[in-house]
Amino acid sequence: MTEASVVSTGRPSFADLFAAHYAAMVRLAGLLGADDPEDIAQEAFARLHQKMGRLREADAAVPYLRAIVCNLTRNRVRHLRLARLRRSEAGEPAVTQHSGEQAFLVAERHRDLLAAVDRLPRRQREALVLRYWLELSEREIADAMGVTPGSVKTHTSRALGALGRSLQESSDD
Amino acid sequence: MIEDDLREALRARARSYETDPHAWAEVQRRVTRARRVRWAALAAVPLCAAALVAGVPLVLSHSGPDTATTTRRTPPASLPLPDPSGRWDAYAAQVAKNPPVGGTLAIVDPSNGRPIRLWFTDPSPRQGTGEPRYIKLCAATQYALHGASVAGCPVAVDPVHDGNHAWYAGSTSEEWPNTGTLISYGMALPGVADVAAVGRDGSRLPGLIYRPKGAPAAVWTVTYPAGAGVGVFEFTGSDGRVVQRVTPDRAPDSLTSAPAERPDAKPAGGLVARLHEDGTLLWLHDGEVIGATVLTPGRPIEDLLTGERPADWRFAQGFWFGLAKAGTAKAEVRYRDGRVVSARAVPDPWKRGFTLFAAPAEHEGDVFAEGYTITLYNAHGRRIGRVEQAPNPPFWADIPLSTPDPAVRPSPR
Repeated sequence: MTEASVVSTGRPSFADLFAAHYAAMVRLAGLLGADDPEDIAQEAFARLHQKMGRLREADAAVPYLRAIVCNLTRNRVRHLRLARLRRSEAGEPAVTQHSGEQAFLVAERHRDLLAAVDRLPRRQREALVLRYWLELSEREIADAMGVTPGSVKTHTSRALGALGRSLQESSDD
Repeated sequence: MIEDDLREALRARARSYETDPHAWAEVQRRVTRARRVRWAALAAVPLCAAALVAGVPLVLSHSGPDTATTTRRTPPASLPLPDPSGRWDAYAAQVAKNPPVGGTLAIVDPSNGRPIRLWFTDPSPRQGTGEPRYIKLCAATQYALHGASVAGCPVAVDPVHDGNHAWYAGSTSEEWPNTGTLISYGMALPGVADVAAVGRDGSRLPGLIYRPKGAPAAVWTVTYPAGAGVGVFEFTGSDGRVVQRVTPDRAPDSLTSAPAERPDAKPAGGLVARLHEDGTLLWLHDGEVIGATVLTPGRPIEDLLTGERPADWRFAQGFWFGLAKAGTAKAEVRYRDGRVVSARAVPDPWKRGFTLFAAPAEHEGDVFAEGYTITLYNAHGRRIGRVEQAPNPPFWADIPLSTPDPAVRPSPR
Protein backbone atom coordinates (compact mmCIF):
# COMPACT_ATOMS: atom_id res chain seq x y z
CA MET A 1 0.00 0.00 0.00
CA THR A 2 1.17 3.49 -0.59
CA GLU A 3 0.08 6.49 1.36
CA ALA A 4 -1.09 8.03 -1.86
CA SER A 5 -3.87 5.49 -1.98
CA VAL A 6 -4.95 6.42 1.52
CA VAL A 7 -5.26 10.10 0.84
CA SER A 8 -6.48 9.89 -2.70
CA THR A 9 -9.68 11.80 -2.13
CA GLY A 10 -9.83 15.13 -3.90
CA ARG A 11 -6.99 16.80 -5.70
CA PRO A 12 -3.74 14.83 -5.49
CA SER A 13 -0.89 16.60 -3.79
CA PHE A 14 2.46 17.14 -5.40
CA ALA A 15 3.88 14.31 -3.35
CA ASP A 16 1.06 12.01 -4.44
CA LEU A 17 1.90 12.76 -8.04
CA PHE A 18 5.58 12.22 -7.46
CA ALA A 19 5.00 8.87 -5.80
CA ALA A 20 2.66 7.72 -8.51
CA HIS A 21 4.34 9.01 -11.65
CA TYR A 22 8.02 9.66 -11.12
CA ALA A 23 9.20 6.26 -12.35
CA ALA A 24 6.96 6.50 -15.40
CA MET A 25 8.36 9.90 -16.30
CA VAL A 26 11.92 8.63 -16.01
CA ARG A 27 11.01 5.80 -18.34
CA LEU A 28 9.25 8.08 -20.76
CA ALA A 29 12.31 10.32 -20.97
CA GLY A 30 14.51 7.27 -21.47
CA LEU A 31 12.33 5.85 -24.20
CA LEU A 32 12.35 9.19 -25.96
CA GLY A 33 16.13 9.10 -26.06
CA ALA A 34 17.22 11.29 -23.14
CA ASP A 35 20.81 10.67 -22.12
CA ASP A 36 19.90 11.37 -18.48
CA PRO A 37 16.23 10.48 -17.99
CA GLU A 38 16.30 11.12 -14.24
CA ASP A 39 17.44 14.67 -14.80
CA ILE A 40 14.59 15.24 -17.23
CA ALA A 41 12.00 13.72 -14.89
CA GLN A 42 13.21 15.69 -11.88
CA GLU A 43 13.14 18.92 -13.81
CA ALA A 44 9.65 18.12 -15.05
CA PHE A 45 8.42 17.64 -11.49
CA ALA A 46 10.09 20.84 -10.37
CA ARG A 47 8.27 22.69 -13.14
CA LEU A 48 5.03 20.99 -12.26
CA HIS A 49 5.42 22.27 -8.73
CA GLN A 50 5.63 25.82 -10.03
CA LYS A 51 2.53 25.24 -12.09
CA MET A 52 0.41 23.26 -9.63
CA GLY A 53 -1.60 26.15 -8.28
CA ARG A 54 -2.53 27.28 -11.77
CA LEU A 55 -3.68 23.98 -13.19
CA ARG A 56 -7.42 24.27 -13.59
CA GLU A 57 -8.26 20.60 -13.56
CA ALA A 58 -7.19 18.15 -10.91
CA ASP A 59 -6.25 15.64 -13.59
CA ALA A 60 -4.26 18.10 -15.67
CA ALA A 61 -1.02 17.46 -13.83
CA VAL A 62 -0.04 14.22 -15.53
CA PRO A 63 -0.63 15.46 -19.08
CA TYR A 64 1.38 18.53 -18.14
CA LEU A 65 4.21 16.32 -16.88
CA ARG A 66 4.19 14.29 -20.08
CA ALA A 67 4.35 17.41 -22.19
CA ILE A 68 7.26 18.79 -20.17
CA VAL A 69 9.15 15.51 -20.42
CA CYS A 70 8.66 15.48 -24.19
CA ASN A 71 9.74 19.07 -24.49
CA LEU A 72 12.80 18.78 -22.27
CA THR A 73 13.90 15.58 -23.94
CA ARG A 74 13.48 17.11 -27.37
CA ASN A 75 15.60 20.08 -26.38
CA ARG A 76 18.21 17.88 -24.77
CA VAL A 77 18.50 15.58 -27.76
CA ARG A 78 18.74 18.56 -30.09
CA HIS A 79 21.48 19.99 -27.94
CA LEU A 80 23.39 16.70 -28.01
CA ARG A 81 23.02 16.43 -31.76
CA LEU A 82 24.43 19.93 -32.24
CA ALA A 83 27.27 19.17 -29.87
CA ARG A 84 28.11 16.05 -31.85
CA LEU A 85 27.99 18.02 -35.08
CA ARG A 86 30.37 20.63 -33.70
CA ARG A 87 32.77 17.96 -32.54
CA SER A 88 32.64 16.31 -35.88
CA GLU A 89 33.25 19.61 -37.69
CA ALA A 90 36.16 20.27 -35.37
CA GLY A 91 37.62 16.89 -36.25
CA GLU A 92 37.04 15.52 -32.79
CA PRO A 93 35.94 11.92 -32.48
CA ALA A 94 32.18 11.55 -32.36
CA VAL A 95 30.65 10.77 -29.03
CA THR A 96 28.55 7.66 -29.02
CA GLN A 97 24.98 8.44 -28.08
CA HIS A 98 24.15 6.98 -24.74
CA SER A 99 20.90 5.12 -25.04
CA GLY A 100 20.21 5.30 -21.32
CA GLU A 101 19.46 1.62 -21.12
CA GLN A 102 21.26 -1.35 -19.81
CA ALA A 103 21.45 -3.17 -23.07
CA PHE A 104 21.82 -6.59 -21.58
CA LEU A 105 18.44 -6.23 -19.97
CA VAL A 106 16.72 -5.90 -23.29
CA ALA A 107 16.03 -9.15 -24.99
CA GLU A 108 17.96 -9.85 -28.13
CA ARG A 109 14.80 -10.09 -30.18
CA HIS A 110 13.93 -6.49 -29.42
CA ARG A 111 17.26 -5.08 -30.43
CA ASP A 112 16.61 -4.55 -34.14
CA LEU A 113 13.23 -3.05 -33.46
CA LEU A 114 14.50 -0.71 -30.78
CA ALA A 115 17.45 0.29 -32.90
CA ALA A 116 15.00 1.19 -35.63
CA VAL A 117 12.96 3.22 -33.13
CA ASP A 118 16.11 5.07 -32.14
CA ARG A 119 16.71 6.02 -35.77
CA LEU A 120 13.27 7.51 -36.27
CA PRO A 121 12.83 11.27 -36.56
CA ARG A 122 12.11 12.75 -33.16
CA ARG A 123 8.41 13.43 -33.64
CA GLN A 124 7.77 9.98 -35.01
CA ARG A 125 9.56 8.40 -32.08
CA GLU A 126 7.53 10.47 -29.63
CA ALA A 127 4.28 9.47 -31.28
CA LEU A 128 5.18 5.80 -31.14
CA VAL A 129 6.31 5.81 -27.53
CA LEU A 130 3.26 7.71 -26.37
CA ARG A 131 0.97 5.46 -28.36
CA TYR A 132 2.45 2.04 -27.82
CA TRP A 133 4.06 2.38 -24.42
CA LEU A 134 1.71 4.75 -22.63
CA GLU A 135 -1.27 3.71 -24.74
CA LEU A 136 -2.47 7.27 -24.99
CA SER A 137 -5.23 8.46 -27.27
CA GLU A 138 -4.44 10.65 -30.26
CA ARG A 139 -5.80 13.63 -28.38
CA GLU A 140 -3.57 12.94 -25.39
CA ILE A 141 -0.55 12.36 -27.62
CA ALA A 142 -1.26 15.60 -29.41
CA ASP A 143 -1.35 17.46 -26.10
CA ALA A 144 1.92 15.91 -24.99
CA MET A 145 3.66 16.69 -28.26
CA GLY A 146 2.11 20.09 -28.75
CA VAL A 147 0.72 19.19 -32.19
CA THR A 148 -2.70 18.46 -33.67
CA PRO A 149 -4.32 14.99 -33.53
CA GLY A 150 -4.08 14.85 -37.30
CA SER A 151 -0.37 15.37 -37.09
CA VAL A 152 -0.13 12.57 -34.53
CA LYS A 153 -1.85 10.24 -36.96
CA THR A 154 0.62 11.19 -39.67
CA HIS A 155 3.68 10.76 -37.44
CA THR A 156 2.46 7.40 -36.17
CA SER A 157 1.68 6.09 -39.60
CA ARG A 158 5.01 7.19 -41.03
CA ALA A 159 6.87 5.79 -38.03
CA LEU A 160 5.27 2.39 -38.40
CA GLY A 161 6.05 2.41 -42.09
CA ALA A 162 9.67 3.30 -41.42
CA LEU A 163 9.96 0.59 -38.79
CA GLY A 164 8.55 -1.98 -41.16
CA ARG A 165 11.00 -1.03 -43.89
CA SER A 166 13.88 -0.97 -41.47
CA LEU A 167 13.08 -4.43 -40.13
CA GLN A 168 12.64 -5.75 -43.65
CA GLU A 169 16.09 -4.45 -44.57
CA SER A 170 17.55 -6.05 -41.45
CA SER A 171 16.07 -9.41 -42.34
CA ASP A 172 17.33 -9.09 -45.93
CA ASP A 173 20.92 -8.49 -44.78
CA MET B 1 2.13 -7.61 -35.68
CA ILE B 2 4.70 -4.87 -35.47
CA GLU B 3 2.52 -2.98 -32.99
CA ASP B 4 2.54 -5.87 -30.53
CA ASP B 5 6.28 -6.33 -30.90
CA LEU B 6 6.71 -2.64 -30.37
CA ARG B 7 4.69 -2.67 -27.18
CA GLU B 8 6.70 -5.55 -25.84
CA ALA B 9 10.02 -4.02 -26.82
CA LEU B 10 9.17 -0.64 -25.29
CA ARG B 11 8.00 -2.28 -22.08
CA ALA B 12 11.23 -4.27 -21.88
CA ARG B 13 13.34 -1.18 -22.42
CA ALA B 14 11.26 0.84 -19.97
CA ARG B 15 11.90 -1.72 -17.26
CA SER B 16 15.63 -1.21 -17.66
CA TYR B 17 15.46 2.36 -16.34
CA GLU B 18 15.94 2.47 -12.62
CA THR B 19 15.14 5.41 -10.43
CA ASP B 20 17.41 7.07 -7.94
CA PRO B 21 16.20 6.56 -4.35
CA HIS B 22 17.25 10.14 -3.64
CA ALA B 23 15.17 11.54 -6.47
CA TRP B 24 12.65 13.13 -4.15
CA ALA B 25 15.37 15.04 -2.35
CA GLU B 26 16.69 16.26 -5.69
CA VAL B 27 13.23 17.40 -6.77
CA GLN B 28 12.86 19.22 -3.46
CA ARG B 29 16.16 20.97 -4.10
CA ARG B 30 15.04 22.07 -7.54
CA VAL B 31 11.67 23.20 -6.24
CA THR B 32 13.31 25.24 -3.53
CA ARG B 33 15.69 26.86 -5.96
CA ALA B 34 12.95 27.59 -8.45
CA ARG B 35 10.77 29.00 -5.73
CA ARG B 36 13.43 31.40 -4.61
CA VAL B 37 13.62 32.92 -8.04
CA ARG B 38 9.88 32.76 -8.61
CA TRP B 39 9.03 34.24 -5.27
CA ALA B 40 11.52 36.97 -5.81
CA ALA B 41 9.66 37.96 -8.93
CA LEU B 42 6.31 38.11 -7.19
CA ALA B 43 5.41 40.83 -4.78
CA ALA B 44 4.34 39.82 -1.30
CA VAL B 45 5.52 36.27 -1.65
CA PRO B 46 8.49 35.15 0.40
CA LEU B 47 11.98 34.93 -0.95
CA CYS B 48 13.24 32.25 1.31
CA ALA B 49 14.51 28.75 1.19
CA ALA B 50 11.26 27.28 2.37
CA ALA B 51 11.72 23.87 3.84
CA LEU B 52 9.13 21.45 2.72
CA VAL B 53 7.39 20.04 5.68
CA ALA B 54 7.97 16.34 5.83
CA GLY B 55 6.75 13.67 8.11
CA VAL B 56 6.47 9.97 8.53
CA PRO B 57 3.65 7.52 8.84
CA LEU B 58 3.44 5.34 11.88
CA VAL B 59 2.05 1.83 11.83
CA LEU B 60 -0.27 1.53 14.78
CA SER B 61 0.07 -2.22 14.97
CA HIS B 62 3.69 -1.95 16.04
CA SER B 63 4.95 -4.95 17.90
CA GLY B 64 8.43 -5.54 16.60
CA PRO B 65 11.68 -5.98 18.40
CA ASP B 66 14.09 -3.24 19.37
CA THR B 67 16.06 -2.31 16.34
CA ALA B 68 18.44 0.43 15.40
CA THR B 69 17.66 1.49 11.89
CA THR B 70 18.00 4.25 9.44
CA THR B 71 14.72 5.84 8.58
CA ARG B 72 13.86 7.18 5.25
CA ARG B 73 12.45 10.64 4.98
CA THR B 74 9.15 10.60 3.22
CA PRO B 75 7.92 13.11 0.71
CA PRO B 76 6.18 16.21 1.96
CA ALA B 77 2.74 17.39 1.16
CA SER B 78 2.17 20.17 -1.29
CA LEU B 79 2.67 23.79 -0.38
CA PRO B 80 -0.34 26.02 -0.08
CA LEU B 81 -0.37 29.15 -2.16
CA PRO B 82 -0.83 32.49 -0.48
CA ASP B 83 -4.22 34.11 -0.57
CA PRO B 84 -4.60 37.46 -2.35
CA SER B 85 -3.43 39.32 0.74
CA GLY B 86 -0.31 37.20 0.86
CA ARG B 87 -1.37 35.58 4.11
CA TRP B 88 -2.29 31.97 4.08
CA ASP B 89 -2.85 30.09 7.28
CA ALA B 90 -1.46 26.79 6.19
CA TYR B 91 -2.23 25.21 9.54
CA ALA B 92 -5.93 25.96 9.25
CA ALA B 93 -6.01 24.69 5.69
CA GLN B 94 -4.18 21.51 6.54
CA VAL B 95 -6.21 20.78 9.66
CA ALA B 96 -9.37 21.00 7.59
CA LYS B 97 -8.05 18.16 5.46
CA ASN B 98 -6.19 16.27 8.17
CA PRO B 99 -7.89 16.86 11.51
CA PRO B 100 -5.81 16.26 14.64
CA VAL B 101 -5.97 13.09 16.63
CA GLY B 102 -5.24 14.32 20.13
CA GLY B 103 -3.73 17.65 21.01
CA THR B 104 -1.78 19.93 18.70
CA LEU B 105 1.66 21.00 19.88
CA ALA B 106 3.09 24.47 19.62
CA ILE B 107 6.86 24.71 19.87
CA VAL B 108 9.22 27.52 18.96
CA ASP B 109 11.25 27.62 15.77
CA PRO B 110 14.57 28.89 17.10
CA SER B 111 15.49 30.43 13.75
CA ASN B 112 12.73 33.03 13.84
CA GLY B 113 11.06 32.71 17.22
CA ARG B 114 7.74 31.80 15.67
CA PRO B 115 5.60 28.80 16.54
CA ILE B 116 5.73 25.48 14.77
CA ARG B 117 2.58 23.36 15.12
CA LEU B 118 2.68 19.58 15.16
CA TRP B 119 -0.24 17.19 15.26
CA PHE B 120 -1.15 13.63 14.45
CA THR B 121 -3.79 12.73 11.94
CA ASP B 122 -5.36 9.44 11.05
CA PRO B 123 -6.36 8.77 7.46
CA SER B 124 -8.66 5.80 7.29
CA PRO B 125 -7.56 2.79 5.30
CA ARG B 126 -9.56 1.76 2.29
CA GLN B 127 -12.41 -0.42 3.35
CA GLY B 128 -11.94 -4.14 2.96
CA THR B 129 -8.36 -3.96 1.78
CA GLY B 130 -6.82 -5.34 4.93
CA GLU B 131 -4.30 -2.51 4.78
CA PRO B 132 -2.71 -1.52 8.08
CA ARG B 133 -3.94 1.61 9.77
CA TYR B 134 -1.55 4.51 9.71
CA ILE B 135 -1.32 7.78 11.43
CA LYS B 136 0.76 10.65 10.24
CA LEU B 137 2.56 13.49 11.91
CA CYS B 138 1.70 16.82 10.35
CA ALA B 139 3.61 20.05 10.78
CA ALA B 140 2.98 23.71 10.08
CA THR B 141 5.76 26.28 10.04
CA GLN B 142 5.99 29.89 9.02
CA TYR B 143 8.45 32.32 7.49
CA ALA B 144 8.88 35.64 9.10
CA LEU B 145 10.21 37.68 6.16
CA HIS B 146 6.92 37.93 4.32
CA GLY B 147 4.61 36.09 6.64
CA ALA B 148 4.02 32.94 4.62
CA SER B 149 3.15 29.69 6.31
CA VAL B 150 3.49 26.16 5.09
CA ALA B 151 2.01 22.92 6.32
CA GLY B 152 2.02 19.35 5.27
CA CYS B 153 1.33 15.80 6.20
CA PRO B 154 3.45 13.12 4.73
CA VAL B 155 2.66 10.94 1.83
CA ALA B 156 4.57 7.73 2.04
CA VAL B 157 6.10 5.77 -0.71
CA ASP B 158 7.57 3.31 1.75
CA PRO B 159 5.34 3.34 4.80
CA VAL B 160 6.47 0.11 6.38
CA HIS B 161 8.22 1.05 9.57
CA ASP B 162 7.38 -1.97 11.68
CA GLY B 163 9.88 -2.58 14.40
CA ASN B 164 10.92 1.02 14.87
CA HIS B 165 10.38 3.02 18.04
CA ALA B 166 10.96 6.49 16.69
CA TRP B 167 10.92 8.28 13.37
CA TYR B 168 12.39 11.47 11.99
CA ALA B 169 9.83 13.83 10.48
CA GLY B 170 11.42 17.16 9.68
CA SER B 171 13.89 19.85 10.54
CA THR B 172 14.60 23.48 10.00
CA SER B 173 17.99 22.27 8.78
CA GLU B 174 16.26 21.65 5.45
CA GLU B 175 16.06 25.39 4.98
CA TRP B 176 18.83 27.41 3.40
CA PRO B 177 21.03 28.77 4.65
CA ASN B 178 20.82 26.53 7.68
CA THR B 179 22.84 28.63 10.06
CA GLY B 180 22.13 29.59 13.64
CA THR B 181 20.02 27.29 15.79
CA LEU B 182 18.06 24.43 14.27
CA ILE B 183 15.31 22.15 15.46
CA SER B 184 14.52 18.62 14.32
CA TYR B 185 11.42 16.66 15.28
CA GLY B 186 9.61 13.42 14.78
CA MET B 187 7.40 10.87 16.47
CA ALA B 188 8.11 8.21 19.04
CA LEU B 189 6.25 5.30 20.57
CA PRO B 190 5.34 5.40 24.25
CA GLY B 191 8.35 3.30 25.24
CA VAL B 192 10.73 6.07 24.28
CA ALA B 193 11.66 8.16 27.30
CA ASP B 194 14.43 10.37 26.01
CA VAL B 195 16.06 11.63 22.83
CA ALA B 196 19.38 13.21 22.02
CA ALA B 197 21.17 14.30 18.88
CA VAL B 198 24.69 13.07 18.39
CA GLY B 199 27.08 15.69 17.07
CA ARG B 200 29.96 15.26 14.70
CA ASP B 201 32.38 15.08 17.60
CA GLY B 202 30.29 12.48 19.40
CA SER B 203 28.78 14.93 21.85
CA ARG B 204 25.15 14.37 22.86
CA LEU B 205 22.70 17.23 22.54
CA PRO B 206 19.63 16.54 24.66
CA GLY B 207 16.12 16.84 23.30
CA LEU B 208 12.57 16.83 24.60
CA ILE B 209 9.64 14.45 24.48
CA TYR B 210 6.11 15.80 24.24
CA ARG B 211 3.05 13.66 24.87
CA PRO B 212 0.02 15.49 23.45
CA LYS B 213 -3.14 14.55 25.28
CA GLY B 214 -5.12 11.93 23.41
CA ALA B 215 -2.46 11.49 20.74
CA PRO B 216 -1.46 8.01 19.60
CA ALA B 217 2.27 8.67 19.95
CA ALA B 218 4.77 11.11 21.39
CA VAL B 219 6.61 13.88 19.59
CA TRP B 220 10.33 14.39 20.05
CA THR B 221 12.32 17.53 19.35
CA VAL B 222 16.00 18.40 19.53
CA THR B 223 17.32 21.95 19.29
CA TYR B 224 20.98 22.32 18.37
CA PRO B 225 23.47 24.67 16.75
CA ALA B 226 23.84 24.29 13.00
CA GLY B 227 27.57 23.82 13.36
CA ALA B 228 27.19 20.76 15.57
CA GLY B 229 27.10 18.46 12.58
CA VAL B 230 24.20 16.41 13.86
CA GLY B 231 23.66 13.29 11.81
CA VAL B 232 22.12 10.79 14.23
CA PHE B 233 19.31 10.91 16.77
CA GLU B 234 19.37 8.44 19.63
CA PHE B 235 16.32 7.30 21.56
CA THR B 236 16.44 5.67 24.95
CA GLY B 237 13.90 3.79 26.99
CA SER B 238 13.04 4.40 30.63
CA ASP B 239 15.93 2.13 31.65
CA GLY B 240 18.38 4.35 29.82
CA ARG B 241 19.13 1.82 27.10
CA VAL B 242 19.26 2.96 23.51
CA VAL B 243 16.24 1.53 21.69
CA GLN B 244 16.61 3.30 18.36
CA ARG B 245 19.08 5.27 16.31
CA VAL B 246 17.76 7.32 13.43
CA THR B 247 19.91 8.74 10.69
CA PRO B 248 17.87 11.05 8.49
CA ASP B 249 18.88 11.78 4.95
CA ARG B 250 21.41 14.54 5.18
CA ALA B 251 20.65 17.86 3.68
CA PRO B 252 23.40 18.78 1.24
CA ASP B 253 26.32 20.50 2.92
CA SER B 254 26.47 23.16 0.28
CA LEU B 255 23.87 24.94 -1.79
CA THR B 256 26.04 24.73 -4.89
CA SER B 257 29.00 22.83 -6.19
CA ALA B 258 29.49 25.11 -9.18
CA PRO B 259 32.72 27.12 -9.33
CA ALA B 260 32.57 30.67 -8.06
CA GLU B 261 32.89 33.54 -10.46
CA ARG B 262 35.58 36.04 -9.69
CA PRO B 263 35.88 38.43 -8.05
CA ASP B 264 33.77 38.32 -4.89
CA ALA B 265 31.70 41.43 -4.31
CA LYS B 266 32.30 43.30 -1.09
CA PRO B 267 29.63 45.86 -0.53
CA ALA B 268 30.13 48.05 2.50
CA GLY B 269 28.83 46.56 5.69
CA GLY B 270 31.12 43.63 6.22
CA LEU B 271 29.55 40.99 4.02
CA VAL B 272 30.92 39.20 0.98
CA ALA B 273 28.69 38.25 -1.97
CA ARG B 274 29.85 35.33 -4.08
CA LEU B 275 28.23 34.39 -7.38
CA HIS B 276 28.58 30.81 -8.59
CA GLU B 277 28.41 29.78 -12.21
CA ASP B 278 25.04 28.09 -11.74
CA GLY B 279 23.54 31.39 -10.63
CA THR B 280 23.67 30.80 -6.89
CA LEU B 281 24.54 34.01 -5.08
CA LEU B 282 25.77 33.42 -1.55
CA TRP B 283 26.15 36.03 1.16
CA LEU B 284 28.92 35.31 3.64
CA HIS B 285 29.90 36.74 6.99
CA ASP B 286 33.21 35.59 8.40
CA GLY B 287 33.15 32.76 5.88
CA GLU B 288 29.73 31.52 6.95
CA VAL B 289 26.81 31.58 4.52
CA ILE B 290 24.04 33.73 5.95
CA GLY B 291 21.91 34.20 2.86
CA ALA B 292 21.40 32.95 -0.65
CA THR B 293 19.58 33.96 -3.80
CA VAL B 294 19.39 31.90 -6.95
CA LEU B 295 19.63 33.74 -10.22
CA THR B 296 18.74 31.66 -13.23
CA PRO B 297 21.69 31.64 -15.62
CA GLY B 298 20.78 33.29 -18.87
CA ARG B 299 17.68 34.91 -17.45
CA PRO B 300 17.74 38.69 -17.35
CA ILE B 301 17.94 40.15 -13.90
CA GLU B 302 14.97 42.33 -14.81
CA ASP B 303 12.83 39.25 -14.26
CA LEU B 304 13.93 39.19 -10.66
CA LEU B 305 14.00 42.88 -9.85
CA THR B 306 10.75 44.16 -11.22
CA GLY B 307 9.40 47.67 -11.13
CA GLU B 308 6.99 46.62 -8.43
CA ARG B 309 9.71 45.03 -6.38
CA PRO B 310 13.02 46.59 -7.38
CA ALA B 311 15.02 44.93 -4.63
CA ASP B 312 15.48 41.53 -3.07
CA TRP B 313 16.63 41.47 0.51
CA ARG B 314 16.78 39.61 3.76
CA PHE B 315 17.60 40.17 7.39
CA ALA B 316 19.95 37.65 8.95
CA GLN B 317 22.60 37.49 11.64
CA GLY B 318 22.27 41.19 12.41
CA PHE B 319 22.58 42.33 8.79
CA TRP B 320 20.24 43.68 6.16
CA PHE B 321 21.48 42.88 2.66
CA GLY B 322 20.34 42.16 -0.84
CA LEU B 323 20.16 43.11 -4.49
CA ALA B 324 18.70 46.21 -6.07
CA LYS B 325 18.13 47.29 -9.62
CA ALA B 326 20.90 48.85 -11.67
CA GLY B 327 21.51 52.52 -10.96
CA THR B 328 20.88 52.21 -7.24
CA ALA B 329 23.50 54.02 -5.22
CA LYS B 330 21.87 53.82 -1.80
CA ALA B 331 19.27 51.60 -0.20
CA GLU B 332 17.45 52.48 2.98
CA VAL B 333 15.18 50.55 5.28
CA ARG B 334 12.93 52.58 7.57
CA TYR B 335 11.50 50.75 10.54
CA ARG B 336 8.11 51.58 11.95
CA ASP B 337 9.72 53.30 14.94
CA GLY B 338 11.29 55.79 12.53
CA ARG B 339 14.84 54.55 12.66
CA VAL B 340 16.61 54.24 9.32
CA VAL B 341 19.39 51.92 8.22
CA SER B 342 21.25 53.08 5.15
CA ALA B 343 23.43 50.95 2.89
CA ARG B 344 25.62 52.03 0.00
CA ALA B 345 24.92 50.00 -3.12
CA VAL B 346 27.65 48.94 -5.52
CA PRO B 347 27.36 47.56 -9.07
CA ASP B 348 27.75 43.81 -9.27
CA PRO B 349 31.28 42.94 -10.45
CA TRP B 350 29.95 40.19 -12.74
CA LYS B 351 28.25 42.65 -15.06
CA ARG B 352 24.78 41.16 -14.56
CA GLY B 353 23.09 44.50 -14.31
CA PHE B 354 22.19 44.84 -10.65
CA THR B 355 23.65 46.33 -7.50
CA LEU B 356 24.42 44.87 -4.10
CA PHE B 357 24.01 46.39 -0.68
CA ALA B 358 24.61 45.37 2.93
CA ALA B 359 24.55 47.04 6.31
CA PRO B 360 24.52 46.06 9.99
CA ALA B 361 20.89 46.20 11.05
CA GLU B 362 20.26 45.04 14.58
CA HIS B 363 16.66 45.61 15.50
CA GLU B 364 14.90 44.99 18.77
CA GLY B 365 11.48 43.50 18.38
CA ASP B 366 10.01 41.72 15.42
CA VAL B 367 10.77 43.73 12.32
CA PHE B 368 8.64 41.38 10.23
CA ALA B 369 5.62 41.78 12.47
CA GLU B 370 5.96 45.55 12.45
CA GLY B 371 6.57 46.07 8.75
CA TYR B 372 9.02 48.50 7.19
CA THR B 373 9.73 50.57 4.10
CA ILE B 374 12.63 50.17 1.68
CA THR B 375 13.67 53.05 -0.53
CA LEU B 376 16.26 53.09 -3.30
CA TYR B 377 18.13 56.20 -4.45
CA ASN B 378 20.35 56.87 -7.43
CA ALA B 379 23.69 58.67 -7.31
CA HIS B 380 21.92 62.04 -7.51
CA GLY B 381 19.84 61.27 -4.45
CA ARG B 382 16.67 60.85 -6.46
CA ARG B 383 14.30 58.16 -5.32
CA ILE B 384 14.14 55.36 -7.92
CA GLY B 385 12.31 52.63 -6.08
CA ARG B 386 10.24 51.98 -3.02
CA VAL B 387 8.77 48.91 -1.35
CA GLU B 388 6.23 49.20 1.43
CA GLN B 389 6.44 45.97 3.37
CA ALA B 390 3.23 45.37 5.25
CA PRO B 391 3.35 43.98 8.78
CA ASN B 392 3.38 40.21 8.95
CA PRO B 393 2.44 39.27 12.48
CA PRO B 394 3.09 35.68 13.51
CA PHE B 395 0.55 33.00 12.89
CA TRP B 396 -0.73 31.06 15.90
CA ALA B 397 0.83 33.52 18.34
CA ASP B 398 -2.07 33.20 20.77
CA ILE B 399 -1.53 29.47 21.20
CA PRO B 400 0.31 28.64 24.43
CA LEU B 401 3.56 26.79 23.94
CA SER B 402 3.44 23.11 24.80
CA THR B 403 5.12 21.64 27.83
CA PRO B 404 7.44 18.70 27.37
CA ASP B 405 7.04 15.43 29.23
CA PRO B 406 7.79 16.29 32.89
CA ALA B 407 9.11 12.80 33.47
CA VAL B 408 12.03 13.54 31.20
CA ARG B 409 14.83 15.75 32.38
CA PRO B 410 17.07 16.34 29.42
CA SER B 411 20.65 16.18 30.47
CA PRO B 412 23.90 15.52 28.66
CA ARG B 413 25.29 12.09 29.27
